[in-house]
Amino acid sequence: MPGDQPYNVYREQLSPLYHGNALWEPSPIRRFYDQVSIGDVGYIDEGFFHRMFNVTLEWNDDSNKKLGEPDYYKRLDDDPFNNIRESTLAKGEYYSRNMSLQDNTDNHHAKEPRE
Amino acid sequence: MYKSKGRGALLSLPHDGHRKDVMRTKMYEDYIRDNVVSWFEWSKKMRLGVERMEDLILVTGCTLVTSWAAAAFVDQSQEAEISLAAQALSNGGGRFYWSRIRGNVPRHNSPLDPVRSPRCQCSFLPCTDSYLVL
Repeated sequence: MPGDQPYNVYREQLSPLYHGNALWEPSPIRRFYDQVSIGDVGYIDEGFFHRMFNVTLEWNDDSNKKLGEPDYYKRLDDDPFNNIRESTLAKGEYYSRNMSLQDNTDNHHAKEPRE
Repeated sequence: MYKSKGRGALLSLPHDGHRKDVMRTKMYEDYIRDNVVSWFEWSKKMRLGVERMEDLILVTGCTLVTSWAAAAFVDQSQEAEISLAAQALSNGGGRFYWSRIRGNVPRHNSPLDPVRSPRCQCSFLPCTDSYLVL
C-alpha cells in the first residue's frame, strides 16, 4: 500500500515537529537544480521534491526550463533581505512521538502542540 | 536504541542545519491564488504526473544540511527497533553505523563526505517548510 511506503511514513511521522515536509530523498538531482530554494514551485513524489521552476526568477530564466519552458508568469517580487529569517536547526536526532529511546542524547521528540 | 510500536520515523543530523523562512507569507498566499491554476494546467500539459492542484507547493522555507541519516518504521502492527551511531566529521560530513535492527525499518544516509561544502551552507534539504496550495 502507498501509505506503508517509507517516504510516506517518514513524512507523516515527522510532520508534528513543524519543520516542514520531511523528504525521504532530500538530495536534488544536480542536472535539474542544486538545492531547494524559497520561491520554488513543484511537487513531492516518492519523497523527492520535483522543482518545476522558481517564481523569484523570470519565467524564461534558463534554470526554469529544465522540465520545459513554463507559461508566462509575473515574477514574485519579494525583498529577500527584509522578508527572510535565517536560523539554525540544531544537530541531533528528530523522531516521532510514538518511539522510545534509550542511550541517546540531543534528540528532538515530535509532540502535539498541546503537549 | 530506538523502539517503535507501530509507525515511526527518525532523522539524525550530525551537524547543525541552516534554515531560511519567509516571515510575511501573505504576499505568497496571494501569489499562489493568482497563479496556481495556470501552474497546474502547465504540469498537466507537461505530463508531470501531478494529480491534484493541492499537490503543488510553493516553497516558503527550507532547511539545508551537510549530512543526514533517515529511518522509517513502516509496520503499523509490529514493534521494531534500530540503533544508530552518528559521527560528525570536521569537513561537514558524517559517518553512520546502523545496528541491532529488528523488524521492517528501511533506512539510508548521506555519503561520508558532505553533500555540499559546509562553507556555502547549502547542501540539501531534509525538510521543507512549504506552503501547500489549497
